[in-house]
Amino acid sequence: MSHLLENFPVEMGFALLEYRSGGDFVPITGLPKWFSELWPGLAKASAPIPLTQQSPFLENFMLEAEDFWNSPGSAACQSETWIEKSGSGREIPVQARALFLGGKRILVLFSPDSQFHEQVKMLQTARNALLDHERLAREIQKKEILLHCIVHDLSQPLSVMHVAMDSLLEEPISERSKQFLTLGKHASNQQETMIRQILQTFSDDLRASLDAGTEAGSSTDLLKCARKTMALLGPTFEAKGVRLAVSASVVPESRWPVVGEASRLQRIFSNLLENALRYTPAGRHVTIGVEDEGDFLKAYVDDEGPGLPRDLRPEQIFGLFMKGKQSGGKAGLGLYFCRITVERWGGSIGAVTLPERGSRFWFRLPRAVAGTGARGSDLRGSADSAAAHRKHTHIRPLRILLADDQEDIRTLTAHQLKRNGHKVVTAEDGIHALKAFHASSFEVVLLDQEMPGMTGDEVARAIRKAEEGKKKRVFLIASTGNTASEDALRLKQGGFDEVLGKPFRLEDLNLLLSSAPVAKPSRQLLVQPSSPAGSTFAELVARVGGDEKLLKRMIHTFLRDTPKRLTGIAAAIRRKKPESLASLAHALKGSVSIFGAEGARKQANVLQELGRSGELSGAPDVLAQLKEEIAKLQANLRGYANQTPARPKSKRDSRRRPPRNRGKRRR
Amino acid sequence: MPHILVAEDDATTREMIRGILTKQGYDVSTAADGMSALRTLKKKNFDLVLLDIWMPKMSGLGLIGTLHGEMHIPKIIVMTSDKTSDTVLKSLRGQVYQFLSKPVDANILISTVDNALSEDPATPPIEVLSANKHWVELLVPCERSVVSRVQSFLSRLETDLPADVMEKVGYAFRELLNNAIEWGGHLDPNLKVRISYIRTRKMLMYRLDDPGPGFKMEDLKHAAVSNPADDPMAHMTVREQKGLRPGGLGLMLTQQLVDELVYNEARNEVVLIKYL
Repeated sequence: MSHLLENFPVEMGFALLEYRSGGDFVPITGLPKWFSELWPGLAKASAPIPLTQQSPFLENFMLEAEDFWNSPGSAACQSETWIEKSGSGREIPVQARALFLGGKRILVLFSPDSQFHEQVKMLQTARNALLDHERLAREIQKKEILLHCIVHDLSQPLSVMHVAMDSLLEEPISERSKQFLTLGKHASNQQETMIRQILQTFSDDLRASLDAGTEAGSSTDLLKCARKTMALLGPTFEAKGVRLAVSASVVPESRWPVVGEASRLQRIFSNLLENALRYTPAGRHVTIGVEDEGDFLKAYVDDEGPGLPRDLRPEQIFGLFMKGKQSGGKAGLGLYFCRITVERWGGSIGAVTLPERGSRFWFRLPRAVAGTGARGSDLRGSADSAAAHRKHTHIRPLRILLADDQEDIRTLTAHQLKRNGHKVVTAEDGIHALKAFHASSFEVVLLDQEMPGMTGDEVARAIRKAEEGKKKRVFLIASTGNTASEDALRLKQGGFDEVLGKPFRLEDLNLLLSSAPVAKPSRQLLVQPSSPAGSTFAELVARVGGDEKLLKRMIHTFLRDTPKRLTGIAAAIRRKKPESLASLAHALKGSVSIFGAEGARKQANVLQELGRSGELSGAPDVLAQLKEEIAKLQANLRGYANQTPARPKSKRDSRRRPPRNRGKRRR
Repeated sequence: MPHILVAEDDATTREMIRGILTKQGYDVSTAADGMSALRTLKKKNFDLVLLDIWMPKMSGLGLIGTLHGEMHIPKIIVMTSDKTSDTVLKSLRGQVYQFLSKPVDANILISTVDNALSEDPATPPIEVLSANKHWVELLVPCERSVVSRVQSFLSRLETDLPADVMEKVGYAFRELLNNAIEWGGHLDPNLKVRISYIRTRKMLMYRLDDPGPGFKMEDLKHAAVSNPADDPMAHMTVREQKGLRPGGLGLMLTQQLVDELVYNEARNEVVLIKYL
């Protein structure tokens, strides 16, 4: 038995040694194999072994062990695992432990060989998992880029095709050509539907992952995300000898909550940092910083590389497949991803060459406000149901500012709007749009979302800010490829009144325009659709076949006849004569519809139907509304009747325009 | 100079129509209600009456009823914003020439009036075999203007349908009727196409029966519907060789716009179905 126990430590791989004064050790059992492999000379010696001389690690441990032995009763003393090399070059992990056994000072040496390899394996697995994660994140990035390409690059030309075909259909062409066009429109409509469906599927997918992220309570803190990314990329920077740090000007404790989702935000930082690293020589610095800009928070990455290429505009850098010349970059997707993601969250991105050396890549995101609204409510519903009434949409002339960086869309849309009697000013990007907005007065501003310099979102914010404290509120329409409902919600929260999906059809735009109020706060009027007070002079002249004199005679007849009609209607209601009411209202409906007064036509129609049904109780109220609508129409028509043929529009415009703009517009 | 009577109680509309038509060189009289229109018609022979439906004293439909059995009945174009099927069916039975939507547009008014007045007086009228809102059956002369006339009536029976369905069915019907009149009836007004419009809760059906001998698909080389898959424009060459106007896409489009398109064996009868 005792023999058995004597061999037990050896079998278990332990070496038990008694510590003698002077730093020598005496083995009290046999020595395990690993010990003999490591220190073959010592294992055979029968005299006390000068073990500490063999291993600096052990020598180090002995300091702790002696403290332990000199103060009995203190906690056990054990070393970390260290690695010794055998004569054959094999690495052997060793652990040491100091004990008291029967009053003797005992050192136990142990080689945790198998455990050690387990640990190494675990570490390796973790590292592989991290690499997989990185790879998947890149795949997701690719998918989002693909989605974005479908939205914008595939559907935008479609939008142009729609408008081009619509324009052609309005030209004098043969019936057969119309059939060809109808065929083309049919096909492009089909394609549009498919794109919409793909988009909806993918955006649902993306939204699900987005929701999962926010529900887990991961607050999106700009600086935290930056730090996490820095920690991940630290070794890569170290390997290249580039120093990575947060700018000294950043207050470490402050919070930086932004709109956005953490893993994508880290991807943005990661893309920007990798880009900075690519261009920064060894020994130089890359600095991350964050700044408070009020409603927005800004992050930047400064490098000490050669600065931006001179032949590229900053916005080109964020384009698809854009690569630097001394490219270490891969597909040219990274910065593009940054841009589309930042813009999707309502932010913007840019790059500048720094004055001393290097460049700064920055982006700003809206500051997150606690308790943002419900996600996923269907905002398209209202537009769709309104679309059902499309057929009889009436359009009155408006002053419209149209901003789109795509020249073909801009040209065609402007052409169409002008055809419909609107006055159109175009802008090729956000900055010009804002300039144009301040230079003149508009009732409607139509902003493309993706424009260089300033996104539609930013222009909208600037416009709403400029309007603060003023009565007038312009009707803002966003045109965007991102028609998923959360995008629409975001845009509406950002100050837009309506959102128009791209590619859009002219009818959709017309429908929105018909709900645009004139120089009044829009909220009210959105609830109760506005009532346009009639067609333009030009439209009316066209309706009577170009005969202005005839139109004026008709206007005189209308102005003379209508008061009598209204008196007659009032009398019919008072005397409870439904048939007479129906007949008079019907006739009046006929004449107001000639002049395109949709509001008046509707009220007259209601009166006519009340008359036919014999139910007159609501009639006085309807009559009051009808009178209001007719008063507007009369005012318009008096203007038309007085105007001279040489300047067909000026008088009407000066009358319809809010007074404070009068001086400006006359120049 | 053709004489036209405008019977319309709204002064502005009356003024407008009179103005436009006078400028075109027509002799235009006006009446502000049904009774005075009737009096005017009895005094003088008119070629055409533009008739409002809802008028005081006597409605447009009442006037049509009164005229029935008179020696000379002018062509009647009904102008109305009214879309009730009752008005449409009564107008059809009353031999109304065509429907015109309000508010009237000068160009459409002029072309409608011109077409009505330039029609050969020998052209037989549209015969109404059935006119209830589920089943309308007409015998129409093979004359081009008939297409828009018939459609001005029938499309008003479909106004409860979504706009795109109306548009698609309208297109398909127009194409088939054009074919029947042109290919089946050789534009001979003495030959007739029989049109049935049948409307049930779940289906809208048109049946066209043309007076021709029918056709074979292989005779349709001039139409896109018989193009081989690898040459979508083959029919254009055939049309050029035959000296036909460009086109021939009608049948192919029609097939795509409706749910069913079925021919009889001879191919002189066709049924078009749209499920609702």
